[in-house]
Amino acid sequence: MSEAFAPKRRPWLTHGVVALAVFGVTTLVIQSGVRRQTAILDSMEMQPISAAATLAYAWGSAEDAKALLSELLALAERESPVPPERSGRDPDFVTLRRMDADMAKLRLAMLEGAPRSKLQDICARTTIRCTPYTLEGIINMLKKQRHVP
Amino acid sequence: MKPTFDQIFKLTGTHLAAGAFGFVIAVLLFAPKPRVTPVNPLAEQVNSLGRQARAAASASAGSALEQAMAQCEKLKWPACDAASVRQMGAAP
Repeated sequence: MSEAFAPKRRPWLTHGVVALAVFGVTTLVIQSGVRRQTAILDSMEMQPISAAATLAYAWGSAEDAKALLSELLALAERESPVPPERSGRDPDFVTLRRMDADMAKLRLAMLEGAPRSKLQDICARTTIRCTPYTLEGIINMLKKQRHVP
Repeated sequence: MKPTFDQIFKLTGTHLAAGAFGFVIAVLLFAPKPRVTPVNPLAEQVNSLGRQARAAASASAGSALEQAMAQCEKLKWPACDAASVRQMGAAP
């Protein structure tokens, strides 16, 4: 009576389907997680350099500040091998990194004593709210942040 | 037509095993590798100075301040006196 319960032909077909379905779902979940985590990890990786660059810009020698800001800029501007995916609950880490890169560029220009035209050029390409009207305020803020000559 | 308990048990068990097999293969193939972050020695030294300066900022004197000043001088930074190091630790 109970022999009809299990299929006689291709008895492993449903097992294969289950294995493939779980494989597919797991792969999608892993890849989605990797895309979402990449942007977060890229930002986390920048934090030690960002903290050191901020302190060096405020109090350090110009050489140390330049070295750390250049390193920060390279990290902030690197392209991720995995295209980022953002959930609505997460901050926009890519934009935050671009803002860090903009500030690093402005600080580097200040340290190098760049002319105003170069600062205006950087300002025009930034993601932060930098306009010809706010540039003066940003320059003053960056000057105040540097406590040593 | 009614399946026995053994048949249900066996069929469920083998399907669960098939699902677990699919999961394990996917994890083995696509699990992300741990990220190795290269250490920047200069950033390490500067962050160490920052920690010592913050500790010194909350104490009027003591080993934290002396250590922070020594670290600052090692880095050859322009302002390594006690007042500057304390201000360094107090600044946001």
